Amino acid sequence: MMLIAAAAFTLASMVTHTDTILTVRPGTVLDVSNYGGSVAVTSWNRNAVHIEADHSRRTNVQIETGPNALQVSTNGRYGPAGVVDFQISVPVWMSITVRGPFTDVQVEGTKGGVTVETVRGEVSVIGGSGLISLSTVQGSVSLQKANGRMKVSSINEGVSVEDVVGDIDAQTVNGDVSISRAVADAIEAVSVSGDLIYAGSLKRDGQYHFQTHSGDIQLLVPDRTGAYVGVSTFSGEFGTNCPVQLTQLKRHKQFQFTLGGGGAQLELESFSGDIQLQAGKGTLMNLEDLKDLKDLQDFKGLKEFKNAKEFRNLKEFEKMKALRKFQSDAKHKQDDQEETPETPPPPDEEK
Amino acid sequence: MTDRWTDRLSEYLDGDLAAPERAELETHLSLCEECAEALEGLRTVAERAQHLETPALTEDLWPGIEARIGAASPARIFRFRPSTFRFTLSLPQAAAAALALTLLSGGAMWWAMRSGPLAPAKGVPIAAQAPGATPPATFTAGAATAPGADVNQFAGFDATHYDAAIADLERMLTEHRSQLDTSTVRVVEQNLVIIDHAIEQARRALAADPASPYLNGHLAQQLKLKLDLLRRATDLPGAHG
Repeated sequence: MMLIAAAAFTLASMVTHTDTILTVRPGTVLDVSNYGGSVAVTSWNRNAVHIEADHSRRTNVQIETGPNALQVSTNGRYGPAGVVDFQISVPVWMSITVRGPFTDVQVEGTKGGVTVETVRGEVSVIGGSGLISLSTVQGSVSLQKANGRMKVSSINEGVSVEDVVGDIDAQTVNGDVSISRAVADAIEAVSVSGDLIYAGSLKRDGQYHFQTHSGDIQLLVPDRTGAYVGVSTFSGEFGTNCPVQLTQLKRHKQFQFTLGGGGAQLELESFSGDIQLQAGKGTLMNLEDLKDLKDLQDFKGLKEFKNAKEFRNLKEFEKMKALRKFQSDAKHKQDDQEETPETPPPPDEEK
Repeated sequence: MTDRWTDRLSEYLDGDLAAPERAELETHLSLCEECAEALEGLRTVAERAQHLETPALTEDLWPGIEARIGAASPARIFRFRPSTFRFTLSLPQAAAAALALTLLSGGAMWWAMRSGPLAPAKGVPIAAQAPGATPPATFTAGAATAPGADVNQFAGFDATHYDAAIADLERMLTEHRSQLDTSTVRVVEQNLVIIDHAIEQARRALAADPASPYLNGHLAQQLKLKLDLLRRATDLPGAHG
């Protein structure tokens, strides 16, 4: 028991707490560099920065104030810096940059720009405006309630963007990209093996590009969305509930169609994954339907298809016609056979 | 019913037939019961289709999507402020920019590392696929594009440029490898394998259909992603601070 108490006392004495408040002028930016640990930033209504940090005595926290920047960094007394957990309060207008290879980063409530670069760490940002750039390698990235130009990326995990206004560039290799409730002029969403999910509106003059190699793409857009849609897949499937008319059908599964009179430019590409585009409610129409639709363009009496059901009715009619023709041919064949001389009855019946 | 008139019924319905053909078909319709029946069927379907209501949703994607995006909070309405600057690039522009950046940063990195203290590590190459092992593809067309876009912007853009830049960065990363966190190296390698697999699939598909704009664009995109990842990996801070 004595040993445990001694160890606890030793450990407690090794942990130190830094706590300081610095007044800053409007326009000052915060630059935090933390080798490992965590950085949690919140906002408050003071033109001052409150820095608290828990760290070992072997690690120093350095704070440098300049005319336009407040720099916070860590270093080790006898080698690399150790783990430091920061809690920082900043003015709401302050732009923030946080860097650190092994650092989890949380930012909430700021209305300034946010830049986060980490390697092994989770990134979560709520708020921010202007330029927002969040990147990690091993960790997920979450951005909410931001406004501006947003660039979010991970390598080995997913990225998610919610409730934002502005341009979005979201990229990962081995993770999903999900974007919801966004009002964006431009979206670039890319993954290699992950799925791409988008639920939100498309602006009539917007440009939206979703590309994955082996993941699926799911888009949920409001009813009456207008867009020029390009779909490309090598071995995936396509499904939609939208009233579409193919304008171009190329080799493999590459085609274009106009949705709701056109408007936004929307490109959906998945090499081997499935692509689904849903506008409001309605039955999903698959690629086979669309191919048949293309083949049936002769039926100009049905130029405009209001929905998938309408088209399927036409397909059913075609099937009915084919069946009727088959029956008619069979009947003709039977009639021809009846006209030929009858074969002699079997010997048993002869008796 | 003759094939000739079967194929012209919809034109007749549309009023697209010339007067002599129309008269001829009407004569035929008065004599051919099957054609008349087919025409009536077409007309009925067309009329019914015009009055169909949007059917109820039979497959609602939203619950699945909502579950995946974890949308628990209600939608928040933002005042829209149009962006004055668009940072997205077209694929060819992006590819060209990436290549230029890569070559630039690659050259700088090569120079810096050659003159720096980093000791070359004789480890396993970080990428599973040897650069240039597969025949390079020539980009003759862009990715699938929206209407009006020029699909020939990739003309003359050669994948060998990518291969060379990738080889440079792979070599740099191999040299830099021993200074990186082992877990990070493992993750980078895993993801390079994923991209290499995608590149290999795209190359194979392209070999069967070299003129496909989509496949050309897709391969270019995968190569660009690999370049981006390698560039990020070579820029990563060392494990020792």
